[in-house]
Amino acid sequence: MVQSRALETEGTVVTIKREERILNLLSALLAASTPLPFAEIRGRVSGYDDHASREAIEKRFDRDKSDLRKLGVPIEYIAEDEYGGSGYRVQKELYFLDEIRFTMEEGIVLAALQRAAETGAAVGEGLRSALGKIGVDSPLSEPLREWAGEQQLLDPRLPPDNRSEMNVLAALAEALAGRRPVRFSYYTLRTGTVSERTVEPWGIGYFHGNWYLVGRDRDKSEERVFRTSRIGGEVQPQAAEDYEIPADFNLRDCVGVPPWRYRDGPAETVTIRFAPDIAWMIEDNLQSGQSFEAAPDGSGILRLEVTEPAALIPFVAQYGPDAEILGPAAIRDRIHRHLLEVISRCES
Amino acid sequence: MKGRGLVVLRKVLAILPLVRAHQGISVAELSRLTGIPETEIAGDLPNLVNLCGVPPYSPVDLVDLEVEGDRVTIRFAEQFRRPVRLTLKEALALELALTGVADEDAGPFAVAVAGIREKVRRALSPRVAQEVSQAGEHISAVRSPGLAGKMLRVLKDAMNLQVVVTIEYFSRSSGRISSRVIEPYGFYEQAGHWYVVARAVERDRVMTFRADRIRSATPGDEEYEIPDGFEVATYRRQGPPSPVESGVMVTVRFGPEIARFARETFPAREFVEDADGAVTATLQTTGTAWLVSELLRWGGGAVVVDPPEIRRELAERARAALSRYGEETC
Repeated sequence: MVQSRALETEGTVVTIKREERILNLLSALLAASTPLPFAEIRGRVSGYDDHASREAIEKRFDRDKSDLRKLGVPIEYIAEDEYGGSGYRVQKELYFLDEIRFTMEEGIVLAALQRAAETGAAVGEGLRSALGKIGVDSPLSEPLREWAGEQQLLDPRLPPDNRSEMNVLAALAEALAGRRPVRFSYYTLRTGTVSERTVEPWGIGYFHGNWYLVGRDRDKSEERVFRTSRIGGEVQPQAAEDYEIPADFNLRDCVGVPPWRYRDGPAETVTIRFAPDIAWMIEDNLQSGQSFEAAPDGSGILRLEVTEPAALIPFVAQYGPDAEILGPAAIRDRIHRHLLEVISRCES
Repeated sequence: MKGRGLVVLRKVLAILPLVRAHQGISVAELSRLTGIPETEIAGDLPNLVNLCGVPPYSPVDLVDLEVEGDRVTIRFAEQFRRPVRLTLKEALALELALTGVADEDAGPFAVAVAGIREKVRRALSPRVAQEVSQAGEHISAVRSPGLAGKMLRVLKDAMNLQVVVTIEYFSRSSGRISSRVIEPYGFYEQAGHWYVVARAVERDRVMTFRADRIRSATPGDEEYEIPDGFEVATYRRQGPPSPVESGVMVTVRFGPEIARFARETFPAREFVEDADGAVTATLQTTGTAWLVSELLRWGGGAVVVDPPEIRRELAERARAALSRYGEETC
């Protein structure tokens, strides 16, 4: 049965749905082996075959092309191909996703991401559609689920507990890729206030369960680090305008910096002794600029540079008698006071 | 076109190649994979796509998406045989998600993540690939390399073979290292730390172990089985079948000046704000040593309201620490 799309009955035109028309246009372009001239689209492709004026149909065609491009469809106009033909074409090599074969283990990671994406309705739609596409050649997760390990293996949380954060991150990453400044409202923990920021994104980092944006804050004319969970509402990309990311910019200098190095300025060296039961963990997690000297009994001494001594105290205090600040004396005094406060709070 | 129309089209272009690659896929599975509601898959979607095709629109030129019972099949959709390549947005979303799972040398799935990244990047259009790699240079996870990655790999290999592992573990609740035999059931990451969920053989209990507190891990020969239906996600949500009666309810108060910071970092589920801006946190715990260690960080800023035993334990530990500084207090 040939279905008639534009039914003209007694002067009224029943137009077909726009989605349907666009799918027909895409079908015609994908099925054509040579470029398709507009003349062959108009009057032939369903949705372009009604009695509207040429201009109206041309406008319709332009709008539909732009929608298809938004979906990632590479439509181009060929002025003259090797056989002298001209018209519109979708290059299939550019349109069709190549076959991707994942290993079982890669499949497990993807299945875990899929599950994480399912649990949050608002969790980046981009992630979900990406997974759908690249998963087309993989064994479906239905049978995979039955495979012994799949359910047990991995439970990523994307990102921690905050479902809209993935969308914030996606928008920031897109701005970073296109070198577009962004505008957003930001909650500052220290002051408890929300303010509008305009930032040139330099990098996005993940550290200890949190995501951070590093960039130049335009109003402050300074490099700043923002925790993305404190970005509220939408991230608005600003007009595209290239900005420079400094050549010597290194994400690791800004994200994952211990709090006792937050402040710029002169650093002093602090030495801390750790008891054998925990010394190996400290040695194992050394950061740049720290050194560790192990003793035969399993204990060890950590040396680190500190610009903000107050922030070092909680780190050391948590270990109780298993950690001791050896020097300098002023910082020993600090932890001494800190511990006295704990005791007095417990006794009051 | 406004959002909705594009959303519909995106769904169609996602679903057709999937059905084509997996003829007879169930409606439920298709819905799960694409996020399209089952009612839509069985209703509006075939109504739309079955009107689409190529001129001259004879029956064999039209897409034929059929839902029979709970199974979906497709015919005459040669033009939609493959999905559209990833858009920049999709590629970046995936890049971010993978960075969150594992990066560089950390995490038990680092090798798999690197593999996915490499394969996906090869399948991107040149323009998107270039933009992703430009942005990718500036997206990364900062993790301390440490032993954790190595331990996780040993544990995961053991789990794949389902053989027990002997670990030397620093327990924060006892403050000491001890040796245990465990049967790994799965992994998760929280606040930047990887945890292994495993059955501790001697205690006959499923517990979590933080990877960076494992000093050594040695696989054994004895095999084990992961119980049917065990899920890390569920375990994580519900926690171990906790002996509630033995758990302690703890109340801690934080002054107004550090209230916000406490809300963000103190590991309690419930916070109640007081009139003066202070917050009161409550949590339930079976072990107390870890909590005492956490409370030591906060100095005079945190006050244990209840129970008094924790207050005593905290004061004792603080005194022991103080003795390192040449002071004995009564």
